[in-house]
Amino acid sequence: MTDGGALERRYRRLLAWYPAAHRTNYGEEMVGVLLAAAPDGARRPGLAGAADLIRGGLRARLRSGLRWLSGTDWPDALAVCSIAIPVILAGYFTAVWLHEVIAGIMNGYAGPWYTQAERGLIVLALAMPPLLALRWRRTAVVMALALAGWYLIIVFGSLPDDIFHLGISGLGQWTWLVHGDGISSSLALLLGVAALAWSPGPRRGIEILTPKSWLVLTVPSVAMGLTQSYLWAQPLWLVALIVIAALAVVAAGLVLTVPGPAARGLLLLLAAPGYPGAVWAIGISRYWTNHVSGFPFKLLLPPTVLFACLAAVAVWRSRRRSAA
Amino acid sequence: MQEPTFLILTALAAGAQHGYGIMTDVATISEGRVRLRAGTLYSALDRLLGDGIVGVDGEEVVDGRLRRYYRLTAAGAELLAAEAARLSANARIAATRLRKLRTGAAPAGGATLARGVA
Repeated sequence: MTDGGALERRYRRLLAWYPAAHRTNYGEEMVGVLLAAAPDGARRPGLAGAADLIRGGLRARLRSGLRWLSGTDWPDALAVCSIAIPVILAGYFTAVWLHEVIAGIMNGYAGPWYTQAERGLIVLALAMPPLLALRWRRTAVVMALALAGWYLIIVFGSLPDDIFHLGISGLGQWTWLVHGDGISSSLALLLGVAALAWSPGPRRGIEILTPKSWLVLTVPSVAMGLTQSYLWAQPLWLVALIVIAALAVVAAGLVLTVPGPAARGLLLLLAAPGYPGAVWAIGISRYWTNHVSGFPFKLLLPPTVLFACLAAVAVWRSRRRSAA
Repeated sequence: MQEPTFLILTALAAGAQHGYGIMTDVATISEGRVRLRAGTLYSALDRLLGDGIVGVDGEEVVDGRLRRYYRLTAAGAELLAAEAARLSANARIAATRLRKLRTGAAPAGGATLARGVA
């Protein structure tokens, strides 16, 4: 291979940092310019030139991501959340409840009546705000907020007494933090409140969602509720595979069944509660609890905070757009 | 407006140019001080094309490679004129103040200087 050939191959490799659309538009042209500007006999791109291409590629990727998000219909995405989140949570808790009842019947003891009543009340409390919002939006928001507050108190209630004496290194010991299901449900409930308060509401969400999108949203949460005790017994790799496959199917299903501008926003909004839920689901594997000390805390919190911040920015933008 | 963008638009104000032509022209305009690299140039061109500041004037194939020519649009010319006027006004104020500083005149307030320049 000639020097020029080797140099061109290396430049093309560096152009892989750019998004495909950018490469299609400018790739050949850029290779021509890079080769024309290269010193005679050069076989490798210079360090500064390579860094410039990498920086340009990352910028182009960021810009194309922002373009993708700027076309998002945030009010519609939030409207879908206002109905989808309570339905997903109610589906999950109903499935857990049903699983316990069936297991109890099979074992000959279904537990005390008040435990069953408590489970039923949780499902009812989750279903009430979107139902109320069809007629009385403000009451629905207050009720959703009360429900989220109550749940947060329960979750925070499991904090160790000496929480305020723990340093940053002690964060991993916070029992409420290491339980991804608690974080996931808390974020979902708070997002549900924001969606009820600052979106066109559940009626609009129902208009947007198709029967197929309902299936995409509800089947995984119900399946999780019914199978989580079986998942616990499986090896880590299998649980991880199932959870990642389920997430990929849900994401693809939402993109395919929800109108584009709302689907993008929905994916980002649901990432905040979805991510810690998924990490927790993988973490309940028996292999993990038996062989790895501690919960994947570093794996759980930073991305969750990032997704939550992005969702908060999205809600804020939606509010600004509604106000305008 | 960042300096590379200003220099790219200035290069295109002379007429349609291809990527490598812009790079060499920018080096000439800035007397070798600014040397655009391909990554920076095409990031800027992509953004300027998206904003309608720059347009594609034509394409040709030279030695088996695509060569695309870029030109300044009417909106781009307006933007460049406004930026040039702003830089020019700033430069005049700076020059006036420096003259006064060198001649030992008492420091004047910004408003006085602005009136003097106007």
